[in-house]
Amino acid sequence: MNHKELQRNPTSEWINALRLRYPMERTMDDTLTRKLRRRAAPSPAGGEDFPAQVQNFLAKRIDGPFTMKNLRPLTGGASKEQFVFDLDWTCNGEQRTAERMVIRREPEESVVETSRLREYQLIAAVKDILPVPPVYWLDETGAELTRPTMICGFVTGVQKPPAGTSNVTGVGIQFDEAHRAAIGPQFIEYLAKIHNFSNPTADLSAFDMPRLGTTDDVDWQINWWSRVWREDSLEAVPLFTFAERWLRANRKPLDKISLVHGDFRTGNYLFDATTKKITAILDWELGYFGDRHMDLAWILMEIFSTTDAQGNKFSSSLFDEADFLAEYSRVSGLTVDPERLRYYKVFVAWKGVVHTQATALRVASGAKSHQDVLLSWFSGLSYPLLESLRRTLAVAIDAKA
Amino acid sequence: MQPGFDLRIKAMNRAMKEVVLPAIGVGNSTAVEQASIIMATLEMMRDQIDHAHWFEVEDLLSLCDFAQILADAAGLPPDSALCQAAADAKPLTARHDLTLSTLKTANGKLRDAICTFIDEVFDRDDAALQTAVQEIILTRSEKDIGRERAYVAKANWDVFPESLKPLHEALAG
Repeated sequence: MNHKELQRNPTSEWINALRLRYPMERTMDDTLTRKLRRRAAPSPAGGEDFPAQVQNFLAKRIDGPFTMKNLRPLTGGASKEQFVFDLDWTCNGEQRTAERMVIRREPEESVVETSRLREYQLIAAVKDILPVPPVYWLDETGAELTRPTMICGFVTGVQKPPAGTSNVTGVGIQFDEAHRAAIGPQFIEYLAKIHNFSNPTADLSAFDMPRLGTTDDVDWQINWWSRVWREDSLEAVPLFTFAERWLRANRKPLDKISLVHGDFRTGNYLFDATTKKITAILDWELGYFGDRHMDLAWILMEIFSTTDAQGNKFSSSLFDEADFLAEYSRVSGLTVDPERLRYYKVFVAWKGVVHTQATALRVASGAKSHQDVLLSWFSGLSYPLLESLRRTLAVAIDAKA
Repeated sequence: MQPGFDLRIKAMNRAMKEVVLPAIGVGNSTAVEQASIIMATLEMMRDQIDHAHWFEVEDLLSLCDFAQILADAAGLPPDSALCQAAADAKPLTARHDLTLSTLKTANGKLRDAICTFIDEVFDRDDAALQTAVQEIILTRSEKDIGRERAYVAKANWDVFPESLKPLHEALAG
């Protein structure tokens, strides 16, 4: 079989060859391998009684009587199937009525294939220092809910001002000065807490820790996204191929092990529409331990920036870039290395191309997600991302010359 | 007379806007979001469809030139895989009797050949050639990506307005 046929119908030999060629964290390897095995042998469509599955799942985990009501789909997000329901139950001796719960279940394939166990562990680990949804239950393998699933509490809040507009997945949210002034400092404070996170008692068994002074973290990241490109891309892109080589040749050893959120930006937190206080930081599925500059570069991506009527540009809809970096350093006590930042600006554009040009189209072409139409639309973002990749590469190469 | 694509798409979008979308109801926000994306996609296709053949030919022609420039930089012989892939593809760009999918298939093969060549160059110990190839890629990509950006501009994702050309202009080069 040729490469395109193997992508559509992965064989065990091909999957094993990919695993050997692209070493990465154990749980990510497991997650990508599971995706390919599912692609090779899809689960039968339909037939599941999801409400009954959830009822049975909860019955095994809740002591005493409970009532589940109003199970329905929840809009938003391109990545996971989301549902909400209301639960009457007793939690640690406390009677709760109509507590709203959110179910995050993996579709057959997702625009980002990630581990629910990693997401669950990270949210549980940071819950005492950051506003996050309470995580309750996990079906790690999908044995009970058809596919891997996490259930957490619902947090109230909005993604954008009530009268605001944006493209899908929260890209392009416009804030006025009052919102920027209120939300910006909280955004930096929470980012600093993430990058300085330390919790020796937390269960982080799903994560492999990189060694300080090595390139473990960035090697695992390059291999992760190179492998996904190899598995999912529908056509070759010369600039992408070159960028992968450049990233491998120019990586730097890790100077501090930080928790990296992986998708920290406006659109991935909720805030109270009245007080403008951030109520929850969401979407932890891309989190890992490594170089903080990955998050900084992600926040500063052109595709997440907006421009006001006077032509002022705001990174992640909130900041002037220089002001953001200075304030981040002051609040976090961490340095910003310009060379690393240039490197990770290339990396995040390259990674974004994997999501939008490869996986989004692969999932839509295989009819693997409830959001195929959105993912097909989302693929249009790959061209501004390729332009970002071209520009950031040129800047990084010039700076090294 | 065959009804034009433009007419069909306009009629579909009017039906979506005036009949289908109002019938969904605000409670089903996922359906409302997906219906809105369908309408926006149809509108983008309305813009693209008149240029689709031109776009595919232009992209393939550009890839043929790209391959030849890379081959020249490396001093590859005409029977090399890269030169051969470009030689196979180029005559297709002058034909009117080909489907878009045939052009896309040729495009895909040439892209594979170019990327294989890039990997081979960076596997070798030849810094001068690597620098030359790097320059070629960065220079060529600007125009090629510019064409792709113009083709999907209606999706409203672009963030580089100063270099985003109208589709006709981007294709005319």
